[in-house]
Amino acid sequence: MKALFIDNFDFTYSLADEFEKKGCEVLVYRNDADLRVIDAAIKKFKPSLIVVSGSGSIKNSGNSSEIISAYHGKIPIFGIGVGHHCIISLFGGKMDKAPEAIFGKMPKITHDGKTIFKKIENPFQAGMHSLMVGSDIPYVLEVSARNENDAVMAVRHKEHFVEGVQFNPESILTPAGSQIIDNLLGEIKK
Amino acid sequence: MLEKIKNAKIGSILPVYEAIENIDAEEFFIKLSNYGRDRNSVLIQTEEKSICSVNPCLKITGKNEEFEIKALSNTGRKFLQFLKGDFKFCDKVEYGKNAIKGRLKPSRRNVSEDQRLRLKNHADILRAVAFKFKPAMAPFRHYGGLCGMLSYDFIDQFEDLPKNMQDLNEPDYEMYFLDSLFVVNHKENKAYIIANALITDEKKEKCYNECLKAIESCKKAISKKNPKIRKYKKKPFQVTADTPKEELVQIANKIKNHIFEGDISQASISKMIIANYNAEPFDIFRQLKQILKADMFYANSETGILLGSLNSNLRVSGNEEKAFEATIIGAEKPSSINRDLDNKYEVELKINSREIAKHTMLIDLARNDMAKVAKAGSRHAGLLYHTEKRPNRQYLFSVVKGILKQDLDALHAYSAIMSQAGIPKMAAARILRQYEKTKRGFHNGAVCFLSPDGDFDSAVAANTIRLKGNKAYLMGEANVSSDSKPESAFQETEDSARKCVDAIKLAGGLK
Repeated sequence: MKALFIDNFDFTYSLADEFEKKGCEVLVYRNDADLRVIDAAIKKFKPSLIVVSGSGSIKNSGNSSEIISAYHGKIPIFGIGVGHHCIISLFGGKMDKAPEAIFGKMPKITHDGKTIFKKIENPFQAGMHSLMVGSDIPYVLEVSARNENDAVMAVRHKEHFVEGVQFNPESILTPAGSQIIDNLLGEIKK
Repeated sequence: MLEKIKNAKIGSILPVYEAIENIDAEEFFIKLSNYGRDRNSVLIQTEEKSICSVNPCLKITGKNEEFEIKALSNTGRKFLQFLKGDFKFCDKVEYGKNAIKGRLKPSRRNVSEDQRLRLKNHADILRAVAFKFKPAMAPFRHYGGLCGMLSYDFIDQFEDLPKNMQDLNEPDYEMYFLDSLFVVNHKENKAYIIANALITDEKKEKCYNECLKAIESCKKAISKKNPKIRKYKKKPFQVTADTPKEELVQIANKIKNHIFEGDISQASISKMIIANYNAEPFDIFRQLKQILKADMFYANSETGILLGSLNSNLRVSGNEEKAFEATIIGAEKPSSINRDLDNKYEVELKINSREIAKHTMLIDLARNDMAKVAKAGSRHAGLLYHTEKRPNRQYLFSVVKGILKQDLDALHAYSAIMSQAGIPKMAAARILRQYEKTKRGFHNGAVCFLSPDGDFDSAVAANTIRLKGNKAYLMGEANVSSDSKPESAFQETEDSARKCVDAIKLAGGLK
């Protein structure tokens, strides 16, 4: 399987490593790479998945939203951190400051047990490195996980293969992260 | 040894060395370097080793796009001849008898990140020199090679960031090729004087004899008297900073806004403090060492004297396996008071949730950075949340390990892991460049050693004091995170520079 990563700087390579460990071929571009270059790379590389990951704010996420917008429905999309924020924002949701600083912390996350959360302990512990969380989640997305403060921790598109997670599956604080990626790859193979 | 040299191929490097009785490295350095006054003298002192050289053969410096490789000895001139034609990848190059000068604009292309790692920049100039000679033998680590400083601003080789308003006119890197040096291994209680044979032609016996001569000349210095210490008339102490209090608080507020907007999670702002000094630079080094009880470095070059402490950062093994490891240093508490109190501080280090959260984030960052250059699946944490006890302090640390990808080397690893001033690294670096007035230069850069066989050690330069002319330039730092108070940032910058200021005062010559 091939995965194309859009790096929003920091926390992308641990994730790419996790995919490589599972036999995936990965190709990483920065969020400021020319869109035509990304389009050409997608045409040539033929990824089965586009991963948009990293930390920071949407305003610094370069071409992340445009790529999600252009390829959702055509290629499965997995958004982590700011990638997840881009998914929520693109489909009409909002971003708010987290009620408390959650970076470097490990909240308990409760999930719906579907797709990427199949057979994952419920609730489970995860690490995250962001100060923003999604709100006003639009109808086209369903909330697939929340933390103990009811903040949105994951979303899923109702029609297309688009999954977003607030937490960092690759973090040293997320023991279930590897299984979540296994589930993601399993869903794509279906 | 002579036989080995005679059999060595042209282009080989072989360390000729002599074990000597264990010596006081600092005293020996003082004798060899005329109390640290001689140009091109370098001393690195860690808990494990002291490394010193006072007559390196080459000096490599670069600033922005320009670079210069200058011969400092006859061996250096031979080295330069041997390098002729090796810089065709540069935009411009002039090969002279005593120097190679050139220009290389770091390449920027719309490519994948794996390809970006291999784009040409000034790390390739360092590579060309470091790996020109192939080691025919490597009896121990640090037998010779490139040693010096990479500034914090070396990041400009890889990233397009805004420029600071002011610049001390420092080079972005200043490295020496140490062909002759002495190394004291404190743990093994061994000391060596080393002179490397750089085989550039068939006159191998002559090369060997020159090495023996260099060793003998170094040995003679052991019995020399210490250089005389100069007397200084007392002067009043004067100190200013590039950022006044009100402005620093404003900057801290702006950074906090960036945190609330989700741009960054934290950043460490710095200001430059400019003081006078009126003492032997090496006495300032000794005072700072006494205060910090830390790993230390001292370097004297044409651009000034740089001294400070070292926080170990990255270690790469040049052998076939290419194992590498990064050390993440966390919060610090006092130590060596009494065992029970030491235990209490140790527990505090290990259960303080704020510090643990911060340290965990740094572990994740290091895991990420290393994954960029590591073989898939090789990156893992070696040690997590351990405490290291030093004579006057203990600190939290973790180690992340990996195996470098086969076609990458230590400088690629350094480019991925180099020191950071905030999280996320690039966003924080971009924001700090907008607000910090003066280029950080060597402060928060790296002191490193790169051997011809690829072994590499680097440590973050902290508590730096840059002596230029009659001025001392220090850096005060304040960490800004979501729960910090901007109004206390000024005091934090003052406090962080206090030990350096004390060292300057205690060295004497000031009222």
